[in-house]
Amino acid sequence: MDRRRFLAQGALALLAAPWVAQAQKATEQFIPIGQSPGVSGKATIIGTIEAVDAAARTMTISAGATSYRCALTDRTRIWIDRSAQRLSATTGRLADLQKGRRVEVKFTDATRKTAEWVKVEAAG
Amino acid sequence: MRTQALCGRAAALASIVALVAGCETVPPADPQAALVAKGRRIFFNETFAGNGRTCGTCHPADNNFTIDAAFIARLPADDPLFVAEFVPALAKNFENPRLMRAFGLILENLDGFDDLANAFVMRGVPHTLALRTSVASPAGPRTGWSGDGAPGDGSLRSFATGAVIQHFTKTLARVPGVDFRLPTDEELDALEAFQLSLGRKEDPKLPLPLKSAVAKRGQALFLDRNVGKCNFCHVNAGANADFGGGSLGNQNFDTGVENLPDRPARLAGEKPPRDDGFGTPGDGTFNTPPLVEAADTGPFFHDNSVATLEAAVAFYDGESFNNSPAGKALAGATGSGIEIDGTQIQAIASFLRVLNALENIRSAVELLETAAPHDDPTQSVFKQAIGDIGDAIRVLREADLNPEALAPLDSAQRFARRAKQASLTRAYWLQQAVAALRQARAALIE
Repeated sequence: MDRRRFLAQGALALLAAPWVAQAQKATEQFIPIGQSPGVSGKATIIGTIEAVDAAARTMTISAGATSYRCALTDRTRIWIDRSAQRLSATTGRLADLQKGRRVEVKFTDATRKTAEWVKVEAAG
Repeated sequence: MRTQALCGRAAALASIVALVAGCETVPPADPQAALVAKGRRIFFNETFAGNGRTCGTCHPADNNFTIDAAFIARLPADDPLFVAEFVPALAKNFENPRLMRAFGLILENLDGFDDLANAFVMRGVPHTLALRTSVASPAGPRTGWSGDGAPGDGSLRSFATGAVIQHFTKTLARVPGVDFRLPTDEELDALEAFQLSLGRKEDPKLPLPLKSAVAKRGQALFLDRNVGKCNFCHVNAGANADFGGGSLGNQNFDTGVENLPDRPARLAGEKPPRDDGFGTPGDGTFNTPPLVEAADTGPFFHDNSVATLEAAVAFYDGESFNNSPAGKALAGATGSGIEIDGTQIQAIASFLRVLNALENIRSAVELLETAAPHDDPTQSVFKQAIGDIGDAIRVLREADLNPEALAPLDSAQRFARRAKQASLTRAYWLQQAVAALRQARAALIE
C-alpha cells in the first residue's frame, strides 16, 4: 500500500470512527423507573437520594448499603416519573432532585462518575 | 397440455400419499424456531394495548417490511396506520397524514417530546431485512435511520419499547399502563429473534458471475475504487464499511441528503424541520443501509426523498453528496469525487436490481422449503414468499433485465399461490415453486 493510499484510507476511517454508542434518549423519558430494557438493574443504579450539591452539581444516592456520588452535567437529562399517578412523564430540573426521593441513574460510562440520565419519582 | 395436467394430478396424488404416510412424524422441538414463531405472532398481532397498531402496521410482510405511498394507498381508511385521521387525541402532532399518504413518511420525536409542534422529523420506514448483517457496529448497535433509534441499551431488542411509546400510544401523554403497555422481557426476546431471522444472514461475496452484461458492468463499477467507489461504505453491497484496514461494521455518514434541492415534501408545500440525524443535538449523520434489498424497498434515503433506484445511484454523482462531509472525505481520500455518467448509473442500478432478484429468489426458496407454516394463521410466510417472487419479477422487468428469468418466476409465483391455498397438495406445489425458482436463478447467474 503506498503512502497516499494509506493516508486516504486513514482519512476515511477517521470520518467514521469517532462515534461513541449513544442510544436515542427521547422515548426513554416515558419508561418508568426500573423498566428500561437492557439497562435497568444492569447499567443503572436505583436508590434514594441522600444529598444534592447544586453548586457542585453532584448527587449522592444510596442503594442498599452502598452510596454512589455522581456528577450532573448540562447534558444530563432529568425526567420526573409520574407513572404511579398514571400521569405523563415530564422533563425535570436539578431542583426536582430532592433528598429522600427514589431515583434511577444511568451513567455515561462504566466508571459511574457522570449521570447520563436521571429518573426521579414524582413527589407525593 | 391435457397430458401435462394429468401428470400434475398424478404427482399431486403421490404427494398426498407421501404426506399421509409421513403424518405421524413430528419434527423435534426447536427452541429458537419456537421463539421466532412467537416473535412473528407478536410482531403482526400484538397491539400492546395501544392505538391498534402492531409492528406489522409499518413493517408488513407482503411489502418487504416497509411501507411506501403505493402500499399506503391500498389500505382501508380505518387501518391503524391512519389513527391520526380518526382518533381525536392523536389528531395533532402525532403524524402528518398528508406526508404519510403522499410519501410514506412517519413522524418521530427523536430530539425529545417537550415541543411536539416544532421538534420532530419526518422519516421513511426502514425495512427490517438482513438486520443480522447491519445492526452491529464497533460503536454499539445501530437501529433506525440515524442508528440511535432505541431507548435502554440502544439494542435491536430494546427498539420495540421505543416504537411502542412513539407509535402505539392512544394519547400524546404516553403513560405506560394507560396509553399502552410496555413489552415484557420475554416479548422483547421473541421480537428480537424474529427480526434477526428475517432476510439474509450474511452478505454476498462479490464479484458474482452474473449473466447480464449490463449488470456485470455495474458490478465492476460498484467495486471500482476510482469510479463508483460504492464498496467503501457498502462492502459486498451490504451495510458495512471497509476503507482498507478491515471491516468497520455499520457506520454513520453525513452524505448531504438534507441539502438536496427540490425535496418532495417541500415541493408539496410542507416544511418539516431539518433532520439532524444521530444524537441530540444531532451531528447530521445517518447510518448506512444494506443495498442488496434496495431495489424493492424504495423510496430511498431517510426522508424518502428519492423515488427510484436509478435516481438514488445518481445522487452520488450530484453536488449534495460531493459537497457533503462524506463526499469531501471520499474525494480527499481517492483524489476525486464521484463522477458517473448516465449509462454507468444505469449499470450500477441494474447490478443492484439483479442482486435484489437473486436475494428474492433465495429468500422465497428458504421460506417455502423450511418455513411453510403450520402455526401461522395469517399465512404471513406465504405472503412474504409470494411477495418476494413478485418483487424479483418487478425489479428485473422495470429495467428489461434477464428476460429469460421472468417465465420461471411467473410460474414460481403461481405455484406458491397454489401451495398457499392447498392443504393436502401443499407439498407438491411447494416443490414445483422451488424448482421454478432455481430455474430463474440459473438464468441470472453462472
